[in-house]
Amino acid sequence: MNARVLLLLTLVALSVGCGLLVVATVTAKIRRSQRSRTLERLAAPQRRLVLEVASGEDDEDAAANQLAALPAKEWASIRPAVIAMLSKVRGAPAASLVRVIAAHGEVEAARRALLGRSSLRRARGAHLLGLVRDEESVPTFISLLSDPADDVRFVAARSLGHIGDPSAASAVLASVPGDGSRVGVPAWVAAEALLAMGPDIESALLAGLLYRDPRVRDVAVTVTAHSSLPSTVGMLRSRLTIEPEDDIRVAMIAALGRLGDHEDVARMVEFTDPGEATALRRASVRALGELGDPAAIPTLRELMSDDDRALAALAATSLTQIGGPAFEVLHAARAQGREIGRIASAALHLASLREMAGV
Amino acid sequence: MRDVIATAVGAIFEVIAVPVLVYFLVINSSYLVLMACAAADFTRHLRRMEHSGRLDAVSSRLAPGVALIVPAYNEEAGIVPAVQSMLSLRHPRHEIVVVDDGSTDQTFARLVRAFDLVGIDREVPQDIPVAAEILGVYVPEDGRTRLTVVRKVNSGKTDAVNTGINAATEPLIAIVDADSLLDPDALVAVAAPFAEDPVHVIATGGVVRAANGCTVVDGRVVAIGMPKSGYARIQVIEYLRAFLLGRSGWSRLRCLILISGAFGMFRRDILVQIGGLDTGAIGEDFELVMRIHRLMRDADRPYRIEFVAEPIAWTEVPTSAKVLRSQRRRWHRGLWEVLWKYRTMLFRPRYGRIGMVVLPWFWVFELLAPVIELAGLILLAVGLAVGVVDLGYAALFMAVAYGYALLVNLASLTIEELTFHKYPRWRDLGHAVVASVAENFGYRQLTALWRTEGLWQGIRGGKHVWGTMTRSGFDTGGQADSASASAREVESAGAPRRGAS
Repeated sequence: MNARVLLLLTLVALSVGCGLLVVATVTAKIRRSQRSRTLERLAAPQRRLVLEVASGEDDEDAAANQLAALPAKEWASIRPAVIAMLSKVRGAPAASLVRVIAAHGEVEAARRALLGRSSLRRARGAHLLGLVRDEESVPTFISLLSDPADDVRFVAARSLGHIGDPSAASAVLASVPGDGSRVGVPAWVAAEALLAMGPDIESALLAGLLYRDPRVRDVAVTVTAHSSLPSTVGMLRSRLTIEPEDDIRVAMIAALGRLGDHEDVARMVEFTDPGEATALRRASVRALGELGDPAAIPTLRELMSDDDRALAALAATSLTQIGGPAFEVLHAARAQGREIGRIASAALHLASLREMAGV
Repeated sequence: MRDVIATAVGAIFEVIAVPVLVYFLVINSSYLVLMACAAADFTRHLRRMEHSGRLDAVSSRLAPGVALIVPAYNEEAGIVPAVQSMLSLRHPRHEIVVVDDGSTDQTFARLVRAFDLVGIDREVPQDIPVAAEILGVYVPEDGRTRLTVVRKVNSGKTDAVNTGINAATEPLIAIVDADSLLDPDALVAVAAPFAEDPVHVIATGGVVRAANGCTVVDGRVVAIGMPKSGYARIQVIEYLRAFLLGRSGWSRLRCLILISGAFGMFRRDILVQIGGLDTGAIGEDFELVMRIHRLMRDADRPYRIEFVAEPIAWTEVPTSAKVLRSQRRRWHRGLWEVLWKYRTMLFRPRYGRIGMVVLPWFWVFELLAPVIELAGLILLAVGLAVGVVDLGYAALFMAVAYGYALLVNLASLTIEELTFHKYPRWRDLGHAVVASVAENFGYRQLTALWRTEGLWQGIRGGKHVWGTMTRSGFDTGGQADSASASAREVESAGAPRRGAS
């Protein structure tokens, strides 16, 4: 075969390929527009029913019953709207929507899917069962936290949060580090799930604060910061000085700034020492402002002259948060002029803007 | 004399004819491989949409906060709707930092009027060293709107971005061009990989598409269509092929080395650690990602740089040959400078796939491609003129080379139609097919010439002259055209540089 023939054959193959691609594109476009028209036609009459159920106006359950009795094709057309609505409503409307979904066999199918081979089906099943708050599936979700597929683990953790069963708290915390090549459940997903489980997770949180893996401790600190459980605050105080990871100490300081009291001021002041890491110092200055205790004023006044100018600005902001006598300190600093005066002036200005806006 | 030329050209043809054809086949085949990877990625992404928990991410108080850095130079026409649009993006915690880089027009005055800005005597920390003097820091008087405007002496886009990073308070930094149009879920989409794997993900890039032909209202793309300009239509196909599918493919292979300056997100601590953007680089976005790769590989730190394929950011592309030429020369010069700067990473196993696969590919199939194409075309013309090349054979040769390029274009259209199908009208599809064919007749050869010019400028190392980017504006669906501006990218040889879109 000479070069010319080879080129000719290649050209023919390319032409066929181009033709096939054009046909595939056109076919895809036609099929998609036909499908969306059909779905729209089938779904249109049912939308009113979904809104009636979701708005809580379906007193006699008439709309829910109609939705539950829809033939498979029509249900398929309205299903995405029902599922989407389920994540937006609570109480009786949510219960009615769950009944509709269950009537179409979706809950049973999802439970079966959790045990299936396809990771996509497992993830979708876990997602649906989380939305319908299927408590029966909690043990399966806990086992899915070690599923080989990333998606499945994430969705299982999120669904456990939707259900809010505190017995799963330890398992959710343990899923954060992952293992070997597997990515752990994202810290914020785990933290949100734990926060949704309520105050009964206290013992799991205490164990989390002592966990060997720093990522678990980090999540436990985050949850502590947002949940104000008394014993976890005590644990934060006792762990703060022995925690080896700076990032976690920063989170602990921020948590104590939110939840602590007068007794924490001295701790925070220690961390503002110039020998400490920059992030720790800045977090401590922020926390002193959050605590709002006048005992921090002398330290913060000094820090307005610190070489770390971002820290100095934070110190001025923290003084505005303390208020009262701290404003006198800021006014005096502003009168001094120079850099300290500039920082005090900016903080006072921002504070006045916030006050005017009622922020 | 003619015989000598004919003999020489004939001899050259004997040697290079087959290698050049093989080069064309390999470059296009590699594109097809990248597209197959991208298609697999898109399919996975779309299947995950139902259970991805995007709404949870939007409403989570624990999701990492984002600071959008918007460098602005003479952006009076579009800056207010751009900032309004960014403030209304869906995200639980985001702030906007506009850095007015010494604008000489009404950019700052319009921001002051629109957002009731008041000056505060705030000191911007120098976490990243910046050269230019800061003239003032301004915030909205309502004390609530999370907008900070930093005014500084003009020193170029990269220095402005570094200033913005210094002024930002959130852990994630999104670098956005002032004329980029973002979809409402843009931040959530690009921040999602950080939320899913906060330990390893250090940077993400968003796909940027051509906004020409789209209807834009209040800084948002509300209807998508193909542009009227022939140049712009071909660029829509180019963006699809190279930016969407090419980068998605590289990302799937864990080999992404370029995040567009028009919309990328980075961990702030990493940006501070590497000293921010390189103010001396023309391809500063490319250079930044390469520096991050080198830093992480040198430190043996596991990391991921991800590309988010979902359509989220839009930008106006050039519609005139003059502007397009300037853009392509600049891009190619930037490419050369970065590849040359990081040549020591080539074929070094320490740098993994980046050093062993991606950088060699970029040298051979990105940097040298226009030179080889141009040389082939000139040689062919000379060969035909002196009669050593058979016209039929030459036509067949060209048909195969460009036919494969057409196949790649059509494949990208098919993948787009099967996945995101953003262009709803049949006539858009028709225009896209025509543009896919038309690219091979003139456009491709012209851009090869301009890119070669850029490469030559880079090798010579002369002073870079920034052109004037004239914007034709968008269809605003009957509203006042807020984005029609000209002279967005104005620089002269003696003045500080402006950034590229």
